[in-house]
This record gives sequence, structure tokens and C-alpha cells, in this order.
Amino acid sequence: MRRRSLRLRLLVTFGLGAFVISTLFASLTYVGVRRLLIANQQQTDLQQSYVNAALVRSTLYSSPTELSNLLNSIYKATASNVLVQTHNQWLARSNSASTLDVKQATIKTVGAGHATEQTLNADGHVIFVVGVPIPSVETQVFEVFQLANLEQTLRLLALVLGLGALFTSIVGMSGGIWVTRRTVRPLEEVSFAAALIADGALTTRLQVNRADREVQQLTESFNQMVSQLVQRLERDARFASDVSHELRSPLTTLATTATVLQQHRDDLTSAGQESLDLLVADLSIFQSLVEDLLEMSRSDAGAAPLVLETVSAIELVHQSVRSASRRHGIEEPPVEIADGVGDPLVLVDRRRFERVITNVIDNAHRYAAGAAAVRIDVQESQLAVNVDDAGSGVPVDEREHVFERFFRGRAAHDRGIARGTGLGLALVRDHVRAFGGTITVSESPEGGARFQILLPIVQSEQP
Amino acid sequence: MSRILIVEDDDHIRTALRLMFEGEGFVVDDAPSGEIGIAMFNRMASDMAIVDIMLPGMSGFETCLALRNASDLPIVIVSARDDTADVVLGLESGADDYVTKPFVPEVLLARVRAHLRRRPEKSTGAFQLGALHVIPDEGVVRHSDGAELHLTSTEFRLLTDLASNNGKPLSREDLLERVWGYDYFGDSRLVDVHIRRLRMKIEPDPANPIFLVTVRGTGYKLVI
Amino acid sequence: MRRLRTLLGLVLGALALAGCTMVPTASSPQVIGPQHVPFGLLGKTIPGTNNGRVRFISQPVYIVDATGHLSSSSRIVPSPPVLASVLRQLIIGPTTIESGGGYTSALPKNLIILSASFRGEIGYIDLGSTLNKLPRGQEVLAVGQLVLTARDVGLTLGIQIKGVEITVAGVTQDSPIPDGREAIFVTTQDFQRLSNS
Repeated sequence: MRRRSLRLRLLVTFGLGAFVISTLFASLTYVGVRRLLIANQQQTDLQQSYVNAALVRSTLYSSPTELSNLLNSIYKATASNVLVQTHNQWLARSNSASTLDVKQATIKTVGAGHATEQTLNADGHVIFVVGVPIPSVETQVFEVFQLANLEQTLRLLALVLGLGALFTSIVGMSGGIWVTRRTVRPLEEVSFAAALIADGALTTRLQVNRADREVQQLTESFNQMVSQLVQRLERDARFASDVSHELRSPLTTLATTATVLQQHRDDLTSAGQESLDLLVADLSIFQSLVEDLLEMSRSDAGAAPLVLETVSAIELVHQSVRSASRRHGIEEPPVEIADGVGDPLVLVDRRRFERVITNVIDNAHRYAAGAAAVRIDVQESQLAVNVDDAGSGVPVDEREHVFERFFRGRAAHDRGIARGTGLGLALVRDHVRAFGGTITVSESPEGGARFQILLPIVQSEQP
Repeated sequence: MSRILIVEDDDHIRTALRLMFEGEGFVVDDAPSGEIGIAMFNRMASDMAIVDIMLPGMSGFETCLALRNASDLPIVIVSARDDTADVVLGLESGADDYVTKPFVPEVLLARVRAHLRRRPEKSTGAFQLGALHVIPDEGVVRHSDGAELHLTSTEFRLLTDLASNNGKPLSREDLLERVWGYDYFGDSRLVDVHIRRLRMKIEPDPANPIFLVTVRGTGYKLVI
Repeated sequence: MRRLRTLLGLVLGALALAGCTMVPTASSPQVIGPQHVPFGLLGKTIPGTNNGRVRFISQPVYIVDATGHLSSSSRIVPSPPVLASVLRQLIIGPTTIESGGGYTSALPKNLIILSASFRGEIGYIDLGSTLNKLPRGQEVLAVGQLVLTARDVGLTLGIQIKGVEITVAGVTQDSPIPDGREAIFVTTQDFQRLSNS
């Protein structure tokens, strides 16, 4: 179900609401007024008919020859036509009267002795025909009233009301637009700001301007919330950083004293020596962990800015591979460069890049008996550095998770003792992202895992 | 029997370091502050110094400067922070190397040894750098007007190594190995800062070097 | 969607209303209850009189048209028509409209009809004054008016008269005939020529 837009809903409500209400009002007004007008008109006309009929009767009684004159003067006075019939024969009528206006049904009914009234349409004109029988003079009097004026009035009324309704609707719609803007825009601003903040622009705040009180409140609460959240985030980051920082000195002492003990190893009993071995091993893990934690919390808190340099990717990779291998005392994997790669340049922080390569190679060493090869390739204007191993690979369902902090995959459980700090690959991903690149894991040609780092190429110089 | 001066205010670390170096056969003079450290050095003439940056009173940088002014001895600074600014400041104060806490003690040992081992130098003939006359055998750089330019042994080694490569560029890696004696413990920043210091000393316009030239993507070379 | 449809319906309805007549029409006449009809119009007798019902008819009378012929018009008279009354109506002369159409009457306005009746197939008209004083042409037309009008009255009454005898205060008169003769008894045929109806 598509989520409806608030803006649209407000607009429709206002516009439609205004339209419906105004139309309703106009219609009701019109109907009411029309009924009133028609009733009034009919009343008046009927009264006139009766009066005229009485006049006809008395004229017939006193001076029948005056009948035509009477009818014509009635017409002159009131613009209604009177026709007099006796025994189915037209006795007299005003000059502009047309017998066609008096329908057979009327004649018949009036002839039967009933007074009648009818509004009918005669050739496009609306007329009101009243028929009055006057049995005492054996005549039927018919009066035909033109309703053209009434029609016109009603048409005018309808037009005015219609325009009024239209105008009201437009005003309503405009009001709707205005209200919508005032209401919805702050909401949009909030959601936009929230998105920015979620993306990491933690300094984003809503602008406080002359707005409605509720919106003002929203703005202030929002800003306050963000500030507090940011403070909390910074505090947390600082905490991790502070803790790790505090660990430096004790760790230094521990490491150094462990070394001293190693120097005096022969003075220890076998139990002592075994204990010392364990101490040294775990101390090394501890040290790595603290180092990783420090690095991670530094990058979290944004404390260590990147020192970006444009360097030759190939030279850097070579250097990093060599460093990493010698640091761990492991065999250096071969660096294979695909054809046509040239000498691409990348924009990275040297030390962090070295860290990245080191961690990935270390990971290969730990879980896959070392990296088989480091292959450099170019894919769609991005540099691809692939660290391939011949191990058992990373299961598909773990390929997203391996980069999470302290993730222990199945391989870790299998291996047992040779654990890493759990932060190695997480750091790798953080650093790679900071360079504007991506890292993914897939399958290597050797059947093991391939860690692929993609970096944007700054410039490429052909060999 | 090499003599090492350790200037560190943290008692535990200082003690542990002393024990470790003594276990390796060094003679250790340890000082809890910069002032005492300098006094000790003046009395004992140590062969190398390890200085912590965070010191009470006289700072590690100042201590470093003072030691450097007095002697050519290799100085390694120990920092609790890995900030490039600190590192550079330390190196600018005259240090030859730096390590960050927590360090791997074996690594520190190896570096110390490497610095002390650097005594025998590669022999190269004397050469001219503009108005400067470089005499590797004597370890001296003389200005044409007779004034002597003072370089630390590290700086001197850097210069002569580049010179011996006949104008071909050397990578930072190579330089680390040749000048400092190791590659995998090092950091290219060491090389960069030393090159910059060298440029300040020998280039007529350090901002636009004509002798110590950067070769992008490779490293540095010396144009004679 | 439904709301949109009702909206459209309203609009169309409004437009339709505009197209048709504003006043609603009826297909057949509405009867008005007798209680609503005032003035005793529906009463059997004329209020204020003792008379029963009066019936009127439109009785043809003859006047003179612009061409000088006798032409028939009509007068409303009670039914059954009384010759004397009809003749008296005739003497009043043409109506305004008739005059406007060029009609005139040859009969003098001050002519008095003492009596007029039918006996057998002859109509007897007794005038108060003589028509001989009139110019011959007018006299012929005047007589013709009287004769043809009487004929038509007779017809309405169902009497086929042959002719009319005109007297003046009871004294027999010679009346002119269109062909130039004179006679006491003039026939309807004599004057038929003069009419154009």
C-alpha cells in the first residue's frame, strides 16, 4: 500500500473540503431560494388569475363586448395572456395570446370543473398556465404567465452562487497550500536533517526561525536531542580511546618485564617456563587488541585525520606486502600485476593502507596458511587489489559479517588457539571506506578466499 | 659495552627497561626527568639515549634538543601518541627514531642495536653540492667559505647513501634499510622528515630542492 | 477514487442544471383544490345577482371593411342571442382594434332599436329613426349590416330567415337594395353580394 503524502492529504482536504462545502452551500442556497421564488411567483400569479377571472365574469355579465378590451388591458398591465373559452369554443383572447399554450389536458380538466395550474415548456419558453372554470357564465378562463424573468433571475443566481463556490474553492485550495507549506516544510526539513545526521554530518542542526510555536518546539527539541546524542557518541568514543590510552603504560611495563623474564628463562622451573610462554603469547594478543582498539576508537572519534597522498598503487602494494610479511615473519606472497594496468595512482593515507594490507595478509596467514598471491587489476576505472589464499574460503553467509567487529566465524572456532583480535578486518573496512573504496570477499582462483579492495584511481600513467 | 641513557618518568617502565637492557648486556643510566637525564649524560657520555616525550618539567623535546646540541649520539624518542605532529616534532628536535607505547620490547631492542651498529659507513668519495663540499671519510660538510655544516650521523648517512647511488632514486624502503638498518619496523615518515631537515640544511631554497629531489612514485634521489 | 467520482458527479450535475430550465416543469396540470379558489368563482351563480347561469356565445355581426364590403366580426352576447341585443351591440360600432384595421359601421351611433324579432322566416326590425337621410351608399350598407346580422342571429337560433322588414316607429319603410331598387322586404340574398365573408 503506497504511503499517502501528508502534503497531498492536507491539500486535498482543504481544496476538496472547500469545494464540497461551498458547492453544498451554493446548491442548498440555490434550491432554497428557487423554491421560495417559484412559490412566491406562483402565489402571485394564481391570485392574479383569480382576480382576472372574476373580472372576466363581471365583464361578461355587465358588458360582454368589453371582454376583448379587458383582456388586452390585462396584457398591457401584467404581460400575461388571458384566453376565455366557452363550450369548447374560444370566446375571446388577448391579442398576443396563443391557444397552443393551453394544452388539451388543461382544457379537459378545467372543462370538467377543476381549477388547474401547470408550469410547462412551450417552445423553449417556460410558462405558467392557470385555468379557472367559471360555471356561472359557462366559461373557462386561462391565463398564461411568462416565466422568462424568473428564469433569468434563477440563472443569474445560479451563476453567482456557482462563481462564489468556485472562488471559495480556490481560496480554500490556496489556504491549503499555505497551511501545507507551513506545516509540511518543517517536517521535510527535519527528515532531511535527520538523514544528514544519520549519514554522519553530526554538526547538522535545524535552523530556528520565526515559525509557529509547535514547529519551534520541534526544532529546539530536535537540536537538543542531536547535541546530546553527539555528546554521548563523543563521550563513548573518547571513553574507548581514553581507556585504551590508559592501558599504554601498564602494557609497556608488562611487555618489557615479560621480555626480562624471557631473558632469565633458564632460571625458571619447567612450570615457570610454561607459564611464561603462555604469558608472553597472551600478552602479545592483548597488545594487538589494545593497538587495534586504539586505532579503531581514534577513527571513530575522528581524532586522527587522514594524511592523503597521491601514490603509485603498485609501489605501495609492493611495500606493504613486504612489510606485512616481514613483520609476521612469514613468506612473502607474490605480487601479480595484470596486463594493461599501467601505473595507476591512488589517493590514500600510506600508513593506513599498509595497515590494511597487513591485516588482510595476517588474516590469510591465520586462517588459510598464508596468502597465495596478491593480484592487482583495473576494473572500470577502479583499482582492484586482490589478496587470494588457498584455504577453505569464507562461507557465503558470512561474507558480509566477517568485517564486523569481533565477529567469530566458523573458521575461528575451527582453528582454536590462533585467534586474532577480532578487529583486524573491521579496521580494514573502516580505512578502505575512508579512502572512498570498498572491500568485499569472494572466491579466489585457488578455491580459497579472495579479499578484494577496490579503490578509485586518481590518475593513470601508462607504462 | 654500550652505554644507554633512559629518560622515563614512569617508574615501572623505566625499571623494566633497565632490567631488559641490562639483561642484554648494556650499561644503563636511567633518569626520571629531563634535567637529571642531561646531567647524567654529561657525566657518563652515553652511547645512545631513549627519551620519553611526556616528561615532567623539561619536556622530552627540550631534552632531546639539549642532548642533540651536546652530541651526535643516536636518540630514540618514545611517545604515547602516534600523532604525526608529535613524531615530526620529536624528529625535528633531533631524534633519529621514535617508537610508540605500547611497543614490542624486542622491536625496541632491535632498533637500539641497529642504531648503535651504524658506526661503520659506506665509503664514498668526496663530492660537491653547489657551494658545499661533502667529505664522507671525515664525516664533514664544509661550506665554500670554510664554515662547517653540522649534520647528525643519520642525516650524513642519508646524504652519502643517496650520493653513492649515482643519481638514481632510492625508495623510502631502501633508505630505511640502508640508513636505519631495518625495513619492517620503520616508518616512511622517518625518511620524509630527515629528508626535509637535510633540505633545510643543504638546499639554497629548501622549498624548491635542486639536489635532494623527490621522485614521485619511487622515492628520492641526489642530483650532484 | 470514489471521492473523485462523487466530485465529478456534483460538477456535472451542476452543469446539467445550468443547461436545463431553472424552473421545474410538470407534464400535466395540477388540480387546485376548490377551497383555494376565491371570489366564489366556482359557484353556480354570479355572486350578488339572482341569475342562474349565463351563457355567452360569440355571435357574428356585420360591419364594413376598408373596401366598403360587409364583413363579419363577432360580439360576445349571452346565449341564446336576442336579436335586439345583438343589433344594439352592432350599433355601438367597431372595437378599437376593428377600427384600427379600417373597419367602420354604416349605422349611425345614435340609432335606436325599438324592437327586433323573428316571426316565421322573417325578421322584423323597428328603428327609432329613419335611415333614408343617409347617403344611398351608406344606407345600403347600413341595411345590409342589419340584414346579415339578423340572418346570422337567426342561424344561431336555428331559424333560416328569408329576409328582413324594417319599420320606423312602426311605419313601414322602403329599404334600399344593392341593385338599385327599393323594397319594403329585403332578402338576405340581396345583400349577400356586398359581403366578402
